[in-house]
Amino acid sequence: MRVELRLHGGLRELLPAAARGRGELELVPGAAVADLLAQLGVQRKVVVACNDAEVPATHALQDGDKIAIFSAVSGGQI
Amino acid sequence: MPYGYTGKILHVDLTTGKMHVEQPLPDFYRRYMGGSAMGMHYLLRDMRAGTDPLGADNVLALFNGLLTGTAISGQSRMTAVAKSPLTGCIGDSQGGGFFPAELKFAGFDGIVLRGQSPRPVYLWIKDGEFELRDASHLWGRITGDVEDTLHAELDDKRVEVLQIGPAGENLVRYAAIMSMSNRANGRTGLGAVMGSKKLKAIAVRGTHKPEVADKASLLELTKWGAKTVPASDVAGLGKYGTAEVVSGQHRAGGLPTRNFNSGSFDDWEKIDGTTLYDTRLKGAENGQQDRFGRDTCYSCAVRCKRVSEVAEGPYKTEHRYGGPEYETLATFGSYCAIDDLDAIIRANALCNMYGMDTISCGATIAWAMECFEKGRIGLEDTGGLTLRFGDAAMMVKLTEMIGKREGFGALLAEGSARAAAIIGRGTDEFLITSKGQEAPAHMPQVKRSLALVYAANPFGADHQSHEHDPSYESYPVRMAQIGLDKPQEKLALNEEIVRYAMVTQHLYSALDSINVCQFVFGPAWQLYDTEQLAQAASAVTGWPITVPELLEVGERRLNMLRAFNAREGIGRESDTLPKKFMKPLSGGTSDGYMIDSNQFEAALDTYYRLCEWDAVTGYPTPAKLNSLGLGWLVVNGKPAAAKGASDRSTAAKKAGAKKQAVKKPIAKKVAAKKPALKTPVAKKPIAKAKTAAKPKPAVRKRAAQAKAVAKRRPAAKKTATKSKPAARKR
Repeated sequence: MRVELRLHGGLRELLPAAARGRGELELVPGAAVADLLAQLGVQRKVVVACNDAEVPATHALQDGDKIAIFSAVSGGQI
Repeated sequence: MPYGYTGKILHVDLTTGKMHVEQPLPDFYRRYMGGSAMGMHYLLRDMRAGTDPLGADNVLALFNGLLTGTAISGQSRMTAVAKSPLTGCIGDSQGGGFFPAELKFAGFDGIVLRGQSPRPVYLWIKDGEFELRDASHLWGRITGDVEDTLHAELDDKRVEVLQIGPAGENLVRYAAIMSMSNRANGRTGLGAVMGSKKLKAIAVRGTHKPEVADKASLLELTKWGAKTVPASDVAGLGKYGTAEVVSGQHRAGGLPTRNFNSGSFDDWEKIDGTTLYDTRLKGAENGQQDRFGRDTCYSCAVRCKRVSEVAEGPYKTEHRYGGPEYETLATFGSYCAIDDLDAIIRANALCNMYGMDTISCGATIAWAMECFEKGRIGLEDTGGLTLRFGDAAMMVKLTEMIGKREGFGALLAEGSARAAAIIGRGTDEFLITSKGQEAPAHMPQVKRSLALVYAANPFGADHQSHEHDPSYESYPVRMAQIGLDKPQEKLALNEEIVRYAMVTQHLYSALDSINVCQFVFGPAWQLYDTEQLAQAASAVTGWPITVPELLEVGERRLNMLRAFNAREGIGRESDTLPKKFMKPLSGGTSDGYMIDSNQFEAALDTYYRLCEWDAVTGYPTPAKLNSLGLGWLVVNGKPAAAKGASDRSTAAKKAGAKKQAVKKPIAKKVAAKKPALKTPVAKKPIAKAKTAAKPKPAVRKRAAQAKAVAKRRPAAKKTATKSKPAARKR
């Protein structure tokens, strides 16, 4: 299955620069958000929205889902 | 003298022009370590309660830190403290750049400024020598012009210039102290204090690096940091700046919008850090942003500062005035419902030209916009200006009017809380202030510990005084270093979150005293963790500094700030939140979020109990002050309250630092304005006077003792007009 990606902030470095954070990703059927993050190589704290709703790492993805990934807003400043 | 420090503090009386150098004992350095805590020692010792923040008796202390000037990232920081003209409470603000390191290279750990000069002056410091010079030719000029003029006048572009812009001269109550024309000690209006003293600038040049006790250990930490940045959580910060978080804040419902009525801004992508990077950083047109569009502080591997420019159009802006941080994008952007990035860059530049805090400036404009839209103010108040959310041109216009104190800008220059008090008509309903300081762009409705810290922080609403809520769960290993191992649910404001707020507040307070960057050192996402900070501090000083000692230094500084307020009669009654925060947010993922007033008051009770402060007054208790070595602040069995400071001053002098040496100033008083670059050489050139200024550590103590004796000779009667060209000798 294939999902549409939008990586925000510094996370867009995980895709080619020319893509500016936009792209698609092929996943095995039944893949969850955690699988997607692993496949992308995401190592920092993130917030994932699937079709504009925030979802946990265990959330099962569907073909055609629109995934947005944001850097988690953590600390004193960021 | 301890390793890492210069061992010298410069005291300047701007009324008389007299200056002297103090060489405190090592115990003084170990107790306060630098920055805010060190500056507070002088404010508490030398100022009386009730001092006019814009009067001659306000003391403005500027201190760098323990690590400042070494090679490790995040060390070139300086704290300014004085009584705030914005809040009437203690004022405190940090800034970076190159000035802090240069001040240490020039031979000083800090500068304590008293009095009021009869006319504009600037302070010139070079390798341990110092003089006051006439600044009439600089008065009224914007920061970039002043920097250029001083570089030419001192014939050295490596001179670092700390200065105020016209806003500081005009006593805008949130005027900033600027360096590099784009770095700011921005908050609490300390630029106005400098302006009230008629001190336009401090120019420094130094050539002496601080001595380090354990160079190998510090080098190891330094290299580790530089190597780790690309794979760390500050990598995005480096590339996209603090502006990186605009997207995440919007997603979390924590991007203050329309004067804090909402936490989501529909047009957030237009002001996002990636948009700034792609379109407006210097070099963006050729994909060379990383080379030309990022700037740094002295010896920092993170390089998070923005260099933006607008090439054409109504908001044309040159790059020397830097680029907007996240807070600035929010206050001039989402606070005002403005999505025009060029206008925000222009407003940011105006703040840097005139020397103003972008947070208070943008937030005050947003407050005025809401007041106008809701009919609480009208054309008769604004001088005929129509204020609407989303009006970028008006926002930029108002920013400049504030800097100049022109028209309606003169009222806004008072800050929103004072302006609301002047206008009345219920305009206070739209304030977002605590203790009179406008809230930064992190929302207590979304991160609840901010509700407590915004209210209880001694210098008003501040987002850099503790670690925000999500980090507790996200960084368990690092949190355990400071005894925090019970993360709580989102939106909790229970006893454990209060403890989390207090403990991380103590740590951040230590960061502001050791004086390091909170992006580089901290308890969570920062490059270095707390144990590494202790290791770095130990390596520099040779002292076995532990994490608990760091926390105690931070707690001591926090209690000093509270004690300052206590003697002004400012306590629990001022630890409040704006009414607006108790009303539900509208729209986005934080729709309906609000602060529960009962929960907030209960959290305050818990906070005072955990801090060991008086629950009724909010003052530090005598027992707490004594336990922190601050017994000299206790008068007649009570915490330093509203009584005058004279008797405390006596006690402090017994317990605190000693004035060991009176240094002969180069200038007797204020130098006459002189033609640039044509003045005769001083009888004792600055450069020559310092040729033996950097002895080997082993002989340093003896040299200092000998020097102290030598300095007791009568001060020479040289005039400043003779000393100016010395810089050219290097």
